[in-house]
Amino acid sequence: MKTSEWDATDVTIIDLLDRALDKGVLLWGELVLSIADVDLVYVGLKAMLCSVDTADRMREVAWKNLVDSQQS
Amino acid sequence: MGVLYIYAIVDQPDGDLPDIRGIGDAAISGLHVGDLLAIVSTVEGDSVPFSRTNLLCHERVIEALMRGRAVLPTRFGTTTEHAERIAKALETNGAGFRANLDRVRGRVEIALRVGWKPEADEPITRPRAADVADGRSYMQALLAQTQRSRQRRDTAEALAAKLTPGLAELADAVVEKILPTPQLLLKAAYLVRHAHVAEIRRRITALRTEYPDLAFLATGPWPAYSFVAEGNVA
Amino acid sequence: MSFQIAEPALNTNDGDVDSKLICASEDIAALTEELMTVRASTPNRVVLDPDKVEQGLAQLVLTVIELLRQLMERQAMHRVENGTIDDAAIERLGLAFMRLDTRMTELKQTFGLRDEDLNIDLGPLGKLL
Repeated sequence: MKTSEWDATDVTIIDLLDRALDKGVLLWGELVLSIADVDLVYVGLKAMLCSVDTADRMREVAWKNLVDSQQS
Repeated sequence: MGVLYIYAIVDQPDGDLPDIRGIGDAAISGLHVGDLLAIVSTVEGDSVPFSRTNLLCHERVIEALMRGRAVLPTRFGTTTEHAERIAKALETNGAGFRANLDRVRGRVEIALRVGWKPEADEPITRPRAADVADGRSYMQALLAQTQRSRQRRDTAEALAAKLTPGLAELADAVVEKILPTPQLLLKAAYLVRHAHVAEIRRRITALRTEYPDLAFLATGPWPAYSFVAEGNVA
Repeated sequence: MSFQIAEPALNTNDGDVDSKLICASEDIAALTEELMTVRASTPNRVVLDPDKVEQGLAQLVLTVIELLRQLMERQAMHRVENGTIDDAAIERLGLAFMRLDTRMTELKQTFGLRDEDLNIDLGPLGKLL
């Protein structure tokens, strides 16, 4: 994919996305496991886990935004 | 019932806040603990949906705060129901936050990614049990993979070592990762003072010309996201 | 596309994302692909889809198994390179790892997981594998 097909804004937004989601201050490191909107398990951890669904959704949103802006 | 959305931890708690609205056009305010200030706004519901708009809003509030202040940007989506939780985090980690504020004051983050195509251009893959006849062959295949990976890493490190010194010397702090993925030779972030930003931009652009076979992507200046995560978890 | 080397402001241009591209090569496909493997994080909530609870938990468990498998393989390679392991043991180890590989492939298929799924982001601890 060539640079000319990408808007400068899109590339930098994705870079921002990568930065703001992954880095920055982590104020608290606990974890809550939740099913069907019911918080079930509280876990005190210095780690974060990622929901497969959320990751997929975010990837789709980011991708869709790019596609939309390319078509405009 | 809303929750508090937290944008950043900043210094100068008695100073004015910038004239900017937060997510959902809500007003931003400060939660003052000692010599630290957490910048918050109230959002509807119990979390902030990810969207381009919200991400940009998060970023703009942080950058507006950077006028005249040291700023530790939080991770996008940090919310809590209780202000006391924020206050507690600021008290518990006060020393760490203050140290990080000193580290980033007057500085910005410059981000660099360098892509490559290793000459072998054959992906280094794990052997599959189905593909080999016996245990010894599997181990041989595994060993070959290990050795090729090691060679590729050595090549990557040597190449990165040619790219980075001119950039690292302009920075007060550096985060560098060699081969975070097979196609990415280098992923780096540089914490740079205002006075050095123009020069680091020039040098990165010059590298792109000097290494036409590598792919460069550089962005910035950003708030110091990559330099504030350590030492801030209770 | 033009790259302006404007006089940079300390305050990062007030969130004007458009101006933040310093340089970009023509062929940035690989770079942007990597950018696209974004890992989301709601800072403190792992939401398990009620219909996919097993898959979510399987993902956690299999990632740990995968981590241990790779650690063991690495240690075995170390021993092979150092010559501190005889041929018979190499054959036995190889067979054991082959069985493990077959089993992992089956388990991944059972739960609809790809290789990439077993690489959970542990935030400050970084990617496992």
